[in-house]
Amino acid sequence: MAELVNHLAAAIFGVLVAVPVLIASQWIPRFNYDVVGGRAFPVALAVLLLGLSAAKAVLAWRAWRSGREAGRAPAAPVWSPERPARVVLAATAAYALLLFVRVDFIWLSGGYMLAAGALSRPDRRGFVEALGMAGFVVLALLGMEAFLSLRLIGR
Amino acid sequence: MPEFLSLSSLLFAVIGALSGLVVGAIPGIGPASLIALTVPLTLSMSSVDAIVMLVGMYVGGVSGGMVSAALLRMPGTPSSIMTTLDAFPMAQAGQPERALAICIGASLIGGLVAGAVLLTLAKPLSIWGTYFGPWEYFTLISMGLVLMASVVAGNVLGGLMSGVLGLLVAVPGVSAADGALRLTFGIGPLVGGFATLPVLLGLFVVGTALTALLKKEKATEQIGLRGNPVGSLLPLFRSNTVNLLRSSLIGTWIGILPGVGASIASMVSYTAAKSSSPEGDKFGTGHPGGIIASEAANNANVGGALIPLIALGIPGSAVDAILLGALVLHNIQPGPLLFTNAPDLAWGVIVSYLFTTVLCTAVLLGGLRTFAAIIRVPKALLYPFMIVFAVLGCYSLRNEPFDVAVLFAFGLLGVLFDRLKLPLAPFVIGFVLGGLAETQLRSALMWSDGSWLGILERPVAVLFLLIAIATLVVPPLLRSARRRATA
Repeated sequence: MAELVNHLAAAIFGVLVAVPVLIASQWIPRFNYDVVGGRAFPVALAVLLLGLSAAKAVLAWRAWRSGREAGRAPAAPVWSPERPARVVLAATAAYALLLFVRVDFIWLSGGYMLAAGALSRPDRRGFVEALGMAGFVVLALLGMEAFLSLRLIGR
Repeated sequence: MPEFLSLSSLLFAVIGALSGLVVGAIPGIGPASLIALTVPLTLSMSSVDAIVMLVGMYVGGVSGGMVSAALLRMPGTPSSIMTTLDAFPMAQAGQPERALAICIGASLIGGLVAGAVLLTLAKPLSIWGTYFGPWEYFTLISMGLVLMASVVAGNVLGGLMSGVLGLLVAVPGVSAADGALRLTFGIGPLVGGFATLPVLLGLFVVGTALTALLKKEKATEQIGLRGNPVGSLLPLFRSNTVNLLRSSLIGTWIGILPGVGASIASMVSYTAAKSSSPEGDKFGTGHPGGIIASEAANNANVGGALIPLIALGIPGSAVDAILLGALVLHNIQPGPLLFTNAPDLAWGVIVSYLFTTVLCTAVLLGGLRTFAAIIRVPKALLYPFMIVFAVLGCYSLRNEPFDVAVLFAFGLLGVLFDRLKLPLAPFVIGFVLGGLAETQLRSALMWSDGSWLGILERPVAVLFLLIAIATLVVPPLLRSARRRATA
């Protein structure tokens, strides 16, 4: 079952990339002096990708057929992070979104470290470790901004 | 005095080796993430200092992988997978110091053998490379991609898809050959194409972190260290001279082949050692021969992979592709002319490789207990730390918020690749060499008035093409012949 999903998803992914490339390639200009043209390479790659996706689809079909013959195997859990990891993932998603609303990068990063560390291990030691790490990150970023004249997001 | 022998270069080599060892020892990160993360910080450094430090990280990263492989049964880097088979059982049987000492000694010898080959072969190969024309370059890149794609047994299609996707990601922006604007989909910042650094940081830092967070990790017991490891190594190595040399040469040779990588090198040399040893049946139960084969090969592989990188500008692995990206960011094009245009840099890579190989041995022997403690860093703090510095690295490059979006997009793509079982290495090689491959192909076709038959006038190009075709065609033919024979 997992094999079927893998092949099918890879085939769909390939098609989803190749088709827009094929369509957008129509607008690539061609110059008279160039025997090949800027369109040929992306079009050739997109066609190749479609071919590989078709081959993946055939493998998916074979996996489906052999799966039917062997009886359905229980599907393996695909997304199964542990609790601390789920916390870090949620914090990372929030961090990635907040970066684009131009919040101060240094304090946002410190807050992200603190939230990820402290919430993934909600005890005194976890909080102290996270606070130490967040403090280190804030100081490191302040130092880098001061000494390397970096322009940081939101500042 | 050459710049690579200056105090600053040596200092940066030490910093690189130490940070590589630390990161290599922590399971799940590896030298690729570290090097990608460090590249933006090197932009204000001299190119020689930068590349010397990055090579130090590469050597340190591969060497550090042995610590967690022996003490946790979790390879710090994929190249240490085979080390776990014998080093962990030996450590479990009450000899963790001996297991690590064998790893360290074998790594040193593997590294030195590869260093000697690097020293001897790199310059002649680069001279040979000056005779390469566009057809040779295009077919060499194609061969590298095919070899890399076909390494993953049973997933050649996935490897090829990954390589083609990498080549496609290199297309958007202004075409280098004719200045035409391609595949920007109306996105302004895409006119310059995808910048190398956000893509690499996304795949190797954000992608690695997210992938690790999405997987359930099994709790493992760590074996503690008691005594000093060095002791009866010399007699053991003397009785394993053939194994050591064979594994080192296998590692170096596989490193020279574009794209095959250190994990395959250690698997091949492990299999060779097992099949040729009279005690082959004891491999996998804590046999020193297995540890020697794996560690000598994976360290030798690093040196071998540096040969095509500096001599031809063709990366031998994903880490080498990142190094190539770093060189390009420093306005240096590796390849046949590197020894002429930037001799300090070319020799700096070689000297730094040899120096850090010896340095890593000394540091590992002296600080084993420290490294044994490092491998337990809480992931909830480590991964956010990596992500913050990846954002900083890619934004500080050109103060472009679009690059931060690219970073996270390619981080998610890294997760998708992991889920779809698509190998990342062909993608990276395709992305880094895509522009060069297209430019060379178009030059070659212009040269022969648009005819593909022009390739027949270039025997080396034909050879590269035949190797690529044989790599794709021969294994399935052999498999079907074997199936027919058994039926």
